[in-house]
Amino acid sequence: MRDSQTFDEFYAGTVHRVIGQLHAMTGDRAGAEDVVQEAYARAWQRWDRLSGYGEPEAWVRTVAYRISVSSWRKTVNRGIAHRRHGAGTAVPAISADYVAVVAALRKIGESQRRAVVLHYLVGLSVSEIARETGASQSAVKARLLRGRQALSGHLSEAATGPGPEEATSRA
Amino acid sequence: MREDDLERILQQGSAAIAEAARPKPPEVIRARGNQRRRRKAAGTVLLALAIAAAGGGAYAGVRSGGGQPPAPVTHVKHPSPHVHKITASAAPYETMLPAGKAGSRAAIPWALVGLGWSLTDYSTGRPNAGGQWQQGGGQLTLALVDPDGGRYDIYQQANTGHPWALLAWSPDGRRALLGEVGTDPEQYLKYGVITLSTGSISTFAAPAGVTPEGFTRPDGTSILAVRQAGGTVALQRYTLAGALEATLASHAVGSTPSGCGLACGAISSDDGTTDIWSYDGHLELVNNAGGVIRDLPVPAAGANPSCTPLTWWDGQTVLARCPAPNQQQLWLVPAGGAAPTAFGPPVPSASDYSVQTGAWQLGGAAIYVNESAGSGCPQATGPSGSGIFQLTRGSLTGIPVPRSRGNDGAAVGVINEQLLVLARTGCPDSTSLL
Repeated sequence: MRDSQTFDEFYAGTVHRVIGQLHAMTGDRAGAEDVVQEAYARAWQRWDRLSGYGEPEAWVRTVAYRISVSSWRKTVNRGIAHRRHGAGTAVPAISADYVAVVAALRKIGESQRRAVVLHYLVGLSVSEIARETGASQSAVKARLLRGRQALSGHLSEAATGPGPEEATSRA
Repeated sequence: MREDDLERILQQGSAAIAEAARPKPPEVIRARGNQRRRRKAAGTVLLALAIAAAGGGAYAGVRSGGGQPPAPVTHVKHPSPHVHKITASAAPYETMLPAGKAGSRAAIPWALVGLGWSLTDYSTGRPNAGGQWQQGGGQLTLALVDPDGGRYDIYQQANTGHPWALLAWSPDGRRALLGEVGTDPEQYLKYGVITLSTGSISTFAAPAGVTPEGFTRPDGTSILAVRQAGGTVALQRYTLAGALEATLASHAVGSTPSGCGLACGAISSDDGTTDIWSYDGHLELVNNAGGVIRDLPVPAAGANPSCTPLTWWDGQTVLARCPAPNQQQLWLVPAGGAAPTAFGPPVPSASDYSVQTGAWQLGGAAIYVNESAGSGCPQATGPSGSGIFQLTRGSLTGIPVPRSRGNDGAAVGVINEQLLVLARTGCPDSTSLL
């Protein structure tokens, strides 16, 4: 028997945070909201089992991420995002630095980006990232190192001369 | 960019995105999930029909050629009990049985086996008044129980009068150590290591005076055993086939009987680098590669019988049963060498077989203690059977075991914040998982 009250509390307590995390991973604000809500809907499907485990939030984050990298979902999300455009969403008070970091994240490899976000934003340790992503700890360490190096390179480029994307975002 | 700057920028920006997000109300999400569930059910029926149609033709073709139908492709994943966090890769693809349902070992979702699962044995045999199995009738079953209460029967043994007793479950979840019960409850006739995925058992005879205690961690690739013979007591490591790997610690203890029953105990730490064992009134921390690390302070140190390590209560503290004359008490003993603290009150120990065998914690608060007084049927008077006690403010109160005979039961696990109890439901008759 699924317990809607515990699910609702879990949803209310975590959904904003997971959206923020997915945004950092994907750089797509509307898309992040959609995939995260889809992941929560899937979590509700199996809530009787998930609620008994220690980390349903990690489960939702992983499922949301997987949905987001699916090309089919991307197409659908773009359609949904398009329909949502102009629906009166709140404007986040994000800094120029954050916009630059997310833009740089989108330029590095997918696995490196995910590792960087899970480590520096979500606060997971190397072993926890390995568990969540299914990679070895040495692979996670390498992804973090190379991801950070690549990120620094892109941020340096942006600092010396912002491209059109960054200029538009900061406007 | 410095690492702490990256962290700060990401967290501030992500928090702003999160704050501005306007997710749908939870009831909308649940409705979406319910819709997906219905679609999935309908899709499953359609897929089954499609497979039946396609598979039927293929199967007919194979049969007409005189060969065997193709074997189904199964994806058996290794269990990972040390992964305490569920991952998305495991859950969606393998499922547990519904609560209360029973299945075979083929139905075990190995990728999910871990925290919250229990391995247990139960019998439908008819012990005599002394608790020993009698010849004929009934059978013993070794079963895994999932956190939802589904049961997976792994091995069944007809009652021969010498049943296998479950002694330990390997930390990787793949094997169990069994002992064949003889006439002496402290001495097993032989030992077996069962591979849970296949049900096959490899047996070995322990050398004289050697008592296997359990598996090493983290993978269960060796067996810890205490050897007590010839005035020497030693902690040893054996292969799963019963061959000596190493002697980890050894002490001269004077004249001692061969073997050590309930007074012996040895458990491996989570990472497998150390072991704690009891001998001759001492509780000792030992390197799993060999060598004593420290003698742990325990109540009445040096007195026999020793404190016996029961389980790790957390990563740094061991729950131990420490006997005193006509009494016993559970203590929490820090592996770091700090002074132990009493876990529960001292309780009378009416006989050698009246012992506290473990403790379980529910919801971070309620604590239950198992006490066993032998394996016989519960009697109106005298020590026999087992009981479960709730520990509240330093005192123990017996709790009823519903549907049991004489409240005879022992907690063997925790499922969804409820105790999994192996209860005697008839006497002399059977035990049941409740």
